Amino acid sequence: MLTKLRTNPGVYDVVLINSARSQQAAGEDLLTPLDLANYSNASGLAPALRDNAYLKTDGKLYGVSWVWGMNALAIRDGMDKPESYAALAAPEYKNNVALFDDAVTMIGVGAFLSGQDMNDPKDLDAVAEKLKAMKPNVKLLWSSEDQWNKAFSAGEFDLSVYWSGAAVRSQRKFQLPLHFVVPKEGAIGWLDSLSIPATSQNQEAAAKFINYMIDPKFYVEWATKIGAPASANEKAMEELPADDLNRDIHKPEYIETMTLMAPLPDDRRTAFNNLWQEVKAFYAA
Amino acid sequence: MPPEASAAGLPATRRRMPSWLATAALLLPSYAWLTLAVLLPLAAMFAFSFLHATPLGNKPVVWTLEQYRAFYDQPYLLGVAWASLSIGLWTTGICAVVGFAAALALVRATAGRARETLLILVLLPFWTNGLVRVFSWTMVIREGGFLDVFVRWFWPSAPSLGFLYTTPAIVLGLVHGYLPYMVLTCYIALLSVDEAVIEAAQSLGARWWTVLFKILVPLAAPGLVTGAILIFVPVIGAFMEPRILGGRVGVTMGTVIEDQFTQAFNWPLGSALAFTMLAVVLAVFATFSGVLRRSATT
Amino acid sequence: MSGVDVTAVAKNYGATKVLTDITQNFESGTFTSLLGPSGSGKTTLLRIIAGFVAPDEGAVRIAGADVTGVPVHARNIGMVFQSYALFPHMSVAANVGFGLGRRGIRGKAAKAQVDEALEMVRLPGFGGRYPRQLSGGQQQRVALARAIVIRPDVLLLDEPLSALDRRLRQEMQVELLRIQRESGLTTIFVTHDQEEALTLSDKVAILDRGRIVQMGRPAEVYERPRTRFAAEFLGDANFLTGKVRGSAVEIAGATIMTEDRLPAEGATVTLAVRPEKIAIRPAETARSGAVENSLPATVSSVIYTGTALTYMLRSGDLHLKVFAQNSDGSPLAAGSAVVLSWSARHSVMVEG
Ligand SMILES: Nc1ncnc2c1ncn2[C@@H]1O[C@H](COP(=O)(O)OP(=O)(O)OP(=O)(O)O)[C@@H](O)[C@H]1O
Ligand SMILES: [Mg+2]
Repeated sequence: MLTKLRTNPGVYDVVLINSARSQQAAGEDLLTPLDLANYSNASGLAPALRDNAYLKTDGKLYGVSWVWGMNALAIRDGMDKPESYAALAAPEYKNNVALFDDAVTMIGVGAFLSGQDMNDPKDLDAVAEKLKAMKPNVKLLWSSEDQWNKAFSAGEFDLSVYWSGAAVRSQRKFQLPLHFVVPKEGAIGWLDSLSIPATSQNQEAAAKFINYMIDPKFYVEWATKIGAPASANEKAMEELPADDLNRDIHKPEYIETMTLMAPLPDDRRTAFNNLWQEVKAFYAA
Repeated sequence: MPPEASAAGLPATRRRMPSWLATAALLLPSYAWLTLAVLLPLAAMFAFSFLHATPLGNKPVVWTLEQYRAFYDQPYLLGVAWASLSIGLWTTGICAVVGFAAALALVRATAGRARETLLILVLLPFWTNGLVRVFSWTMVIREGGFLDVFVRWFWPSAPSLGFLYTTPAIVLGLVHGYLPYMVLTCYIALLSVDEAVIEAAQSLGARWWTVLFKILVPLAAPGLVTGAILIFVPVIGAFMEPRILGGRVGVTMGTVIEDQFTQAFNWPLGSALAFTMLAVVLAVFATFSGVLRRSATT
Repeated sequence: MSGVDVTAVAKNYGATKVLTDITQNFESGTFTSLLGPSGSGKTTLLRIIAGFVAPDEGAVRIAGADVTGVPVHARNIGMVFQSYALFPHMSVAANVGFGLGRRGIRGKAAKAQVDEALEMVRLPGFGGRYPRQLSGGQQQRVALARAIVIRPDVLLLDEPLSALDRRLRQEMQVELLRIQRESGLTTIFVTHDQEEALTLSDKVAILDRGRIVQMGRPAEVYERPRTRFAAEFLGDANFLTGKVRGSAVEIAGATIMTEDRLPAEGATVTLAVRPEKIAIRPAETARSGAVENSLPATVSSVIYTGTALTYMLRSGDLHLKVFAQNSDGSPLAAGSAVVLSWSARHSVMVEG
């Protein structure tokens, strides 16, 4: 997306940017600063998301938080809900765990377990140790939702690192008997925000469009008729039916406990990837 | 007839392109295509492998050899490489045995319509979506999968034979996917074996295994070697089968390299690993073909 | 050793009867040619003897042993193919030694026999070469050496020379004959070429639509063909059909004598007369009495080939062909009235 913005000035009026990339885009002067006062629907936004530091550069806001989600745990119905990610290494789940084949997520889990900042763990060896301890439990590493659904319905594992949005879909579409669990360490969160490119020719219309996108009425229709990620607008979430799975999984309190993925410097990203690769090779050996 | 001969035989009154020009004109499109489709991307990847980071955004381009130190900096990669090579050898070996047998059956035991139908059946894996093909195997070989159901039909108390998420499962998936190459190359090699040569061997007292190992296998050796190359190279770079069928053990050079391109966004490292593997494979083949040539001349 | 015995062999491919009731002895040490038109079953018969084809009925015995159910590899035969069928990946020596290896003969003993066989086919010192480095004739010699080195009970050859050009072919015929005589192998040789069959063989067997219609020494089969087909296929013949009258045959008004035993009075018979057996003279110089048969005729055309002349003639409704030497350099012109004469012993009664 950033590449498109850089190479096509003036073409886009609204862009969707992951919160981890906002500061980079703003830093390159690709975005227009925003004033939430112009967005009538912004009043319902969860404060923790609305005012998130990653959306701000030099104290100015560059993105309106729009949708969010979490990576945490999924457990088969009927089993005790794990309180901590430590369950991934617990002996009772021997050969019964699926991990998400994603370096940032898994390093995050390892960082939680070793009591470190998920976005900047200083002691990668401790992270590696925590992750390697899961080896006897790890049955497979999943990389697509489809793969996850097939393996889960075949009963190949009971406990897994999973996406909140995917958990909704797995239950709704395939009636898979699972619970999405956010352990005490909190979830690994992501947030998508809407921004206006600095080069946009229709700033006003763009603002109107963004306001419409965070409108609870629009969201409820989108979420119930088509299916949508969790809205950053708390009012929108409250207007969903009480038994709505999406609402049930994306509880407002999780917003407080989750850690949002931060922009990663290149060398840290490389270090994460290499570490995860090493852990995977350890699992395979 | 060599092209010069046909050109020389023409009456002098008719003007013709010089034969080298005609040859060049004929070959140009394919070479141009080869350059565009194969060599250019390869060259680009080769260039990437000397970069510090993926050249995107307005990061400065830094040239370095550090990517080629990967096996030194991350020694666990040696274990991964070894696992990939052994998967490659197993897959190629099984493909050679099964593919040769299938090709032989196609050439010798059937004729006409039956042969065509069988050939199409053999090629079926080519025409099925790879992902579908691999996922189907997960349903067969998982614990309580079709394989177990089938076995328990005859022996209800049979222990599970499911071997999903093991190295044999990866090899099985790869063999299924790449077997057609071996069948085809062996089939073509065996088609060109004169029936009379086999009969001559029999008339001289050769039993079937002598015919097989002294006549058919050596005569089809070019097909076996071509098939082996066609299979071994992509197999050690394969990532779908290890990921889906290998579970925890499915970490190969293929998955490591793919991770660099898709997840880690570290194209330089991915390229460097790929070219290192390529160099190893070429070295293996060079040694192998040297041995072959020497044994052929003695 | 009693050569090869084929007893009541029959073979059908679906509805096509390829071989019908073949019973024949191929004597030990003899060279027999199987001669017949394309599709007459020569190859099939040879392959039944070799064991590549199982007969539907009948039995095959080689050197006294019943081999009908014995697989090819256990039959001890030598086979030479039209396409040479050398093993392209093996040297000449390895090719020739292949059958020895199958018989457990290896090392020095094998090498000595291979060298001897290569000597026999006049390719000494060629052992290190590969088939692709040899000419067609040389390849066929290697194939021959490979087949005879194992001292087979029978040597089977299916048109082994037909891929060679004329000169080479004649050369190889001589070689083949020499080798057969030296080795004393019972040999069965399939060919299309009647001249080849006549020059090479001790015996010639004529096949017609899956039957052996006649087998005998070449001269016997040529001079005394038993059927119209045999007479026609091996050489040329004039056929005269008429009715038996007394001790002769009445054909188109003329009375033709034969030395063969005739059937009862009034029966219809066919006599075959070879074109070269007929003498031709201008009517005015003709003398009678010296030969038994004479027939007036008119020359309808002459084919001049230098050394020889072929006359096409008419005698009433009969069309005849006569070969003559070009002895005086002045052939008879078309339209000339002539008298044809031949000996009674050259009127051969044939079936069909
Ligand atoms: N495998 C087969 N299936 C069906 N018919 C066959 C088969 N082999 C031979 N025939 C038929 O049997 C007949 C005799 O074939 P064969 O090959 O013995 O003839 P041939 O005398 O050797 O002829 P040629 O001189 O052309 O080689 C032919 O009509 C042929 O079509
Ligand atoms: Mg034939």
